[in-house]
Amino acid sequence: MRRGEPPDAAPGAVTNARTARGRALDVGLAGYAAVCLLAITWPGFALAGAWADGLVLGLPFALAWNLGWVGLTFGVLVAYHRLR
Amino acid sequence: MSSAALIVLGVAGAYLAACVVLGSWTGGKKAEGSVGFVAGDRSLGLVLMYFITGATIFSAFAFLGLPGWAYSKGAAAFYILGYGALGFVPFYFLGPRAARLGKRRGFVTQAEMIAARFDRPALAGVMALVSAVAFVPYLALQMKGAGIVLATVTDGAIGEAAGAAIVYSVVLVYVLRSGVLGVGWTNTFQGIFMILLAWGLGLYLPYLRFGGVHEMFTELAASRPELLRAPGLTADGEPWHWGEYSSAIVVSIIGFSAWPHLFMKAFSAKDTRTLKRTVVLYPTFQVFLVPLFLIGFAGVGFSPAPERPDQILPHLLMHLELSPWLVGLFCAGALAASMSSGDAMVHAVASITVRDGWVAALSRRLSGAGEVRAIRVLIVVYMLAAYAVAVVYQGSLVFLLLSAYGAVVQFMPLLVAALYVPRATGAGALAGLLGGSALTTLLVAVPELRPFPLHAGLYGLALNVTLLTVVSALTRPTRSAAAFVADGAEPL
Repeated sequence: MRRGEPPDAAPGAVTNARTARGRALDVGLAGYAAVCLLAITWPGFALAGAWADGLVLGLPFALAWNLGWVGLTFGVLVAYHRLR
Repeated sequence: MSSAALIVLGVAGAYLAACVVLGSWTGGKKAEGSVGFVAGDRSLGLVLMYFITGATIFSAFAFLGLPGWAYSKGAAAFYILGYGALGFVPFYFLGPRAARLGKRRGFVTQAEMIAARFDRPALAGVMALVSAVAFVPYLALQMKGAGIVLATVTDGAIGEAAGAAIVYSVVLVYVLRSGVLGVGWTNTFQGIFMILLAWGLGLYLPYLRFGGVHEMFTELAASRPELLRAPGLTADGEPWHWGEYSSAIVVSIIGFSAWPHLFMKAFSAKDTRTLKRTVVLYPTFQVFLVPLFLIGFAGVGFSPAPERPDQILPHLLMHLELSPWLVGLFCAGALAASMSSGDAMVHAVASITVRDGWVAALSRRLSGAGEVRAIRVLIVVYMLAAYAVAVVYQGSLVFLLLSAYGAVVQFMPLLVAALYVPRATGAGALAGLLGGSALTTLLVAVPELRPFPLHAGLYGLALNVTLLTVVSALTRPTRSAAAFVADGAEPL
């Protein structure tokens, strides 16, 4: 029996549970990618990052916005890779 | 020549010598034949893969074109950061499937995998042709960057054409000698060098001109707010269109993983775990771009202005009366940026032409040693062709890059269909590739024909996917299609 596996789980049930979890993770990653794409292009970036006033950590908001999405993407990929 | 100029050239010369030694020495252990020369015996670990993918992408265009865009077009340059966030994610899924197929069936290039899947050798030929069309301007861009750097730091004593020739003679030596292993080890050295130098200059130049990064952006927000407002400006100083900005990002994200010199690394990696971890780590390389934006913005308002925006970084260094040691280091860093992309490209396009054009499409047989000999000859031929373009072309570096992406993005539907869709057929793939490439070429040549202000590659991509779907529905797939897709999905 592997670590984390319920004592009475049949092998087929474990495989099905893993497949379902994998699919859920894939859908989650695809959803994140779609949100990220909308955030760094039109309309997300047009709404959020299109003004010049205000600096974030000394950087213009539009630059910080893009950097934030790069950092978030790295975090999401690390989480996806570990869970998958 | 002054003593300062001699120091600059001495530092750059030492860097070039280090590249020759490292690139030549690391190629000695590989096997004879194309699996050794093209795929590095499928032995590349995480560190080499990380720097090959990172340094290959951060090229002369990043070191010169990006500060040039930030300087002249402001926030328009942020599109590069945008597409870098998601650009490599498709490779997390495509790369491991291609790697398994490469190990099981002996593929070392993208096109031979696709041609085998669809049982259409002609596809390999068309892909080899499209690759050559995309790579020659991209390689020319790298050479042009190297030429600009040497010409600027020597104040014209070494012309752009002569500078490009000197730098790419060095690349020629280690690529010919060591193949992909030479490319990998020099890219690692060049990548570390570039990152250190970019951060050093990216913090120092704003400090020198404005008193710091925060002070620089505070002043720019007051004096030139249009530069900090997305989506930035066009070359004429007018606000850029959101459609063009967004479609440039979409095309770049889709095309990124399809670049043959990157995709081929799926066949070079040690295992699929290494490939996946390379993709996960890739966004960290984007941090390297930040100082390059800072350098570009530090040039705003500087007098005298450079002749072309792409020259802003070397121009600043030459006019701020900095230490010649620092200028020499910059020179070496910019050459590293150019060489780390140029070497991978010329190696890839020569390999593709031989393996996909000569062997797969034209069904000519070559021994392993014969293939390597032919690849070496073509490396020289492609270098000369790109050099001719670099000497003649006078436009922007980033425009060259975006045009190349328009062609390469047409490979992506074929890659997805080959690895995931057993129902896709060879006739559909060929129709999609030809139609998409032709439309993109037409719209790049005559942009007025575009109904909306979107990247030309996006129109080609839409036609490509439509033709692939419709023609596949009307034709029958090969009997081996399902087994091929299963071979890619099944762990080794």
